[in-house]
Amino acid sequence: MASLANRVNQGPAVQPSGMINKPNVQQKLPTLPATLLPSTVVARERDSKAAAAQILRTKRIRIAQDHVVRTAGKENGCPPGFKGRPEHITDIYQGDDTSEALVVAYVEHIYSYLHFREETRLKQNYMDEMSVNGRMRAILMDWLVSVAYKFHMCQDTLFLAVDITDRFLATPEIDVTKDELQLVGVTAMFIASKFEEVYPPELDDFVYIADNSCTKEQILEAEMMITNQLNFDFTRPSPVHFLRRICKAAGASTEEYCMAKYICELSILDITFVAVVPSMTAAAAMYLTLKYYPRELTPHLPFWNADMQYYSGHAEQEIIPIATMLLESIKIAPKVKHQCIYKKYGSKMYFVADKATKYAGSIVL
Amino acid sequence: MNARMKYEKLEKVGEGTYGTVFKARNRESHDVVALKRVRLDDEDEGIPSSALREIALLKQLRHKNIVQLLDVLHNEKKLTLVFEYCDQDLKKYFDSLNGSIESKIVRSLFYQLLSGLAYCHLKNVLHRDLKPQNILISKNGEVKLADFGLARAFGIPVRCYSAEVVTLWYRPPDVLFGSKLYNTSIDCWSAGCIFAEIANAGRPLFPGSDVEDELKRIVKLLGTPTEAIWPGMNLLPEYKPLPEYQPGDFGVAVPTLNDSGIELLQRFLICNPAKRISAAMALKHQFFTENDDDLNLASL
Repeated sequence: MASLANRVNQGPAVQPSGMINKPNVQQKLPTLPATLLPSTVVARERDSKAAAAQILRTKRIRIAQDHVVRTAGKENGCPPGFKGRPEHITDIYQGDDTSEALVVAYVEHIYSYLHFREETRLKQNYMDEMSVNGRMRAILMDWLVSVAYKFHMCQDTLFLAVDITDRFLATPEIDVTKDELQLVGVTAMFIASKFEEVYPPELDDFVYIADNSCTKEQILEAEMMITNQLNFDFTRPSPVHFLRRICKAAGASTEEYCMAKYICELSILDITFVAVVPSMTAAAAMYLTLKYYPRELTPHLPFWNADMQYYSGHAEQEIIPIATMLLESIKIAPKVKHQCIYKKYGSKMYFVADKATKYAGSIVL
Repeated sequence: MNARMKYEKLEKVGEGTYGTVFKARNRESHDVVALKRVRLDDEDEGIPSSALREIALLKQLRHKNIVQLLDVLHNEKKLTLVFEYCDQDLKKYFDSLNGSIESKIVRSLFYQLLSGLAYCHLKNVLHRDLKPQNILISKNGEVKLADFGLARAFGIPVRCYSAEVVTLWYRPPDVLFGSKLYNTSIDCWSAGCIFAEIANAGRPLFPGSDVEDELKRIVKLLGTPTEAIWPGMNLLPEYKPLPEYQPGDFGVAVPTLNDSGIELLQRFLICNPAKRISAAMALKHQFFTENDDDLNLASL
């Protein structure tokens, strides 16, 4: 990590003092858990993806203001004009009387805020000039999935760790090498778990799970660098935030929710998704799920109608290119080198992964 | 930048959830600030999760009724959070009152508290530790919510969170019964307790000595909840049947509050969290609208 620290430009106030002068322990840093084979990922139409991302950027739910929250809207760039739910959209929270539903008073506003916050994304080619590449990233992410699974972490923690990893790797001043990737990943997970988990694992557990490939001191140093570089911004929305709402709007069953979670999680492996807003990933995952569980059998439940468009924030024609990418990931899931997600969801607890691949050929978008 | 180079320490003002707080002056601008120092060298888990959350969440919050995090200074041995400085907290303010408070100050303090809280909730943040010690008052009478060391971002629907939150006197019955599925309603109960405490010029409403005593004090005033008014109550992890009480007299509990004030207080102090009023709704309540005084500054 000392070498990583050395390569940071002397930027203003981001350099933890004393770090550079630390004796450079010439220890071989983390080896990644698999060989870096040529990617089996099918080449994709980058242009259509870029176009889709552009649509995402230009299109936003417009929301009008409620006088109570005027101050909130004015400050910190909350989207101006909070309109709330239009008349013709079904109120999916109506009748909810559990304590979970109490936030209903705020729910439309909160989602408009989350949509606003998700806008800033990385470029899908951010690794182009770097020492590491998308394949190494996929291997690292696959390993993070296994760590989250072993520690029984919630999905929010996993997505946060992925987000932290990508944003740190994308810092222009830092060029992380292949040998340092795992240290960055494990530290991102360490930070994410402290932020999200009620009982985060201890630092020793992280050293253990990384097979002692990095020391406690290295993780602590990396923690300081990462928190400084990212300016402690660990509150970005993830697909999970949006998926819960979209599933509710779709009246999804537990199995359908599980399928959608699986598909969302597959997006972690593909670097293209760093450029896709999380609500779009969630929408596309739900869209595919509904294709797997045809609504002809349950005609009272919606397909991609006005309600689904409103609650996901995305229209069908914008979703299709993203869903096409995800369907491709589903098809290759059992064949690629890194398949922790596939195995996790294919285990007893979940059984959707097999089903997804098996019927992928029959899905028409 | 080293904290010592940038700020001149003036005096120690207290201990926060995870570190010492100092009053200090910016050497360049001469602005007075509060420094919260978190030592990292005796902390073998790196940055404490409470500090991590407080920094990350406060960076998303900018509102006149929430304490502003101005800067974070970071080196190997310590982490220093730089906050805007406030002269006193609500607890100290109570001590200066000698038992009486003007009703328009009550309205203003509570209105500002709720404004800050509604803003947090709209930004997806639960405070989870509202109490007079964590509510600051600036020289010109502005209320500022502080100490987000226990705060966290919440999902919708909420996930299971820890039940070890909120100081006992301000802890809602559902959390006292071990509920981990709380949401914004957790802060609203605390806000109600603080409302009564403000109206009573600093006399706490439910100063229980332990969980059992706390619950007993609550039901003595509110009446013992039944399964009919609070479905699912007896399924909570630490539910224990409580002695039967009829509702007590709010006029005795908070003698200085007028009718609309008592009505508002009763909307906060509801055992069933699903029925508790939200901060945003409460701001529209008659208690605040029936007078035209300026609610945004308490002229102390």
